[in-house]
Amino acid sequence: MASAGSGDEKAAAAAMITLISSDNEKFEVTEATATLSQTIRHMIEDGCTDGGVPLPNVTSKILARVIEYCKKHATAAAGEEGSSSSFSDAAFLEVDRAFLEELEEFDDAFLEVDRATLFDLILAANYLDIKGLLNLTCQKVADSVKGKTPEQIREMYNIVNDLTPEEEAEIRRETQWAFE
Amino acid sequence: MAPPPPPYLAEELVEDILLRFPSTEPASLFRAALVCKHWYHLISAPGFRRRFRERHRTPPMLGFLYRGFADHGVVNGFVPTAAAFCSPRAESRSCRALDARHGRILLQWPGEHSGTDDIALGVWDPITGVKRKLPHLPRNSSRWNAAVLCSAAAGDCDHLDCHRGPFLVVVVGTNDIGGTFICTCSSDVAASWSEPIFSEQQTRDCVDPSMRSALTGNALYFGFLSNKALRYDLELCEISFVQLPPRHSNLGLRVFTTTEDGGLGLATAHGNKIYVWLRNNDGREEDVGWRQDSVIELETLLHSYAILTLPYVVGFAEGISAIFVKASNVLFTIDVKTCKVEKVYKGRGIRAVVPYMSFYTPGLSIQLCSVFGLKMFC
Repeated sequence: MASAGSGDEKAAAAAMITLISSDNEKFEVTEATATLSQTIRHMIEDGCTDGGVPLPNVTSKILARVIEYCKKHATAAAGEEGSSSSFSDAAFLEVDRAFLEELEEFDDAFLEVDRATLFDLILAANYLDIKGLLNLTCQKVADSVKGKTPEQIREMYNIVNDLTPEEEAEIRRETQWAFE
Repeated sequence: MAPPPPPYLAEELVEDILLRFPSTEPASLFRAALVCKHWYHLISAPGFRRRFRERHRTPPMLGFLYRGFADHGVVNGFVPTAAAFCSPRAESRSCRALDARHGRILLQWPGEHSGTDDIALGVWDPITGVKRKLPHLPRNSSRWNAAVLCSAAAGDCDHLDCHRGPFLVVVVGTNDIGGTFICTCSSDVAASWSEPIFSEQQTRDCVDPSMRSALTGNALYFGFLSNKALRYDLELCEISFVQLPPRHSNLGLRVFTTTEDGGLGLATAHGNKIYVWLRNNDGREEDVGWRQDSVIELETLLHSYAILTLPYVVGFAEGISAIFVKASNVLFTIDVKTCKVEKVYKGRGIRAVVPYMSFYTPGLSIQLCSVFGLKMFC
């Protein structure tokens, strides 16, 4: 892809950071990609990234996906910055819109994963403090849960109903209309 | 091979997910509250409610109260617009809704004290079910209108969850000799009516009872039957008048609108178009004039509905910038900014709509019901 290529060229001059997954796999990423994570940004600012950044809570499988997300979003951000000086306002808006559409398509495809992977991505986004990814993944779960009955939600997520029949009856009585 | 067991949803993620439930579908959080004890306690905790409000910012429209004319007389009703919000029907049928703001609805009770001509008002919180009747206000005016708002309107309150706090009711009336006055009743000071504040200006004009008030910053506006609006400064307790834009409207109906940045607007339907006006620089007290902000072509938006009978405006929902438009027995909301149209009700003769905007999450009503033994849902 053309935009990704130019992003990589730019990145070649930038500093590289090594991320180390829980199963000891190493990933080389640009600083621009890595700093989408606030956690890593702070480590870079504190000068704690020599010899790689160990991420004991993130497996290589999940880290690879997280990096995929960060690369795309870092490239899109860099592309927007670059385009602003060379286009007229109208052209800039057009480019902007195209970028957003492309990002949305990427995000939709990115979320096509099983529930276990989705939860792992949420945990990783939370730990690495990547706001966009956390929002994206949590919203995906919220959208899939919001229309479900309590029984369906319990089944989906293996949750044991520990409400006493009295408590459940009390809540249901007061919110009866929610189940019509 | 057996399917893998469902993944485990870590407790620390549950709140992150539940906060992203849509505020316009309160039932979804109520259903989630029934999943298990942990979810119930999490959702009904005050901290969750606060974070939910902070995340969604704009209270959703849970429903609207309407007043209309049918063959057998005046009808009042409540129409829920958010899934699963349902209000007591008795109140909404027998009482007239004059205003709703900051989670409260101002109702006029039907003449209980027959023989007197007093104004009987009450403030109703449909979420907790709490109703508070106000002392009767001697009616010495032919026409009047009233508004309800949080007592801290001029203060620091963000009005996202103040519906259980003190409120203020403001009544504006015009007496027979052309005097316009304001009376206020605050729930936190012995709940009695203030001495009337009279306008210095004598006028033959009187307040338009069908036009709902608007609040912008520290000022409440009431439309008058001529082309004026009364501006009541809540901080200084002063009355002034502002000119309204040229009056051309189907059925003489107009609604105040407000903008996100605290500006005052006015919408009218004339012919098959809606005209939206904005008041220039509302912060200044002197009359600064109006500019036409937008014209919405109803023929293209509503298709045949707009052409069959003349459409007219009946209400405005603050925060979500939606104008209520009645066309051919169908009530629509039209988003002023995006022109998105939604059909919200079908019925004849609707003349006034008072939208009810509020966050609604589990915990509030349940606790209060247990404490007060109230039964509030139909």
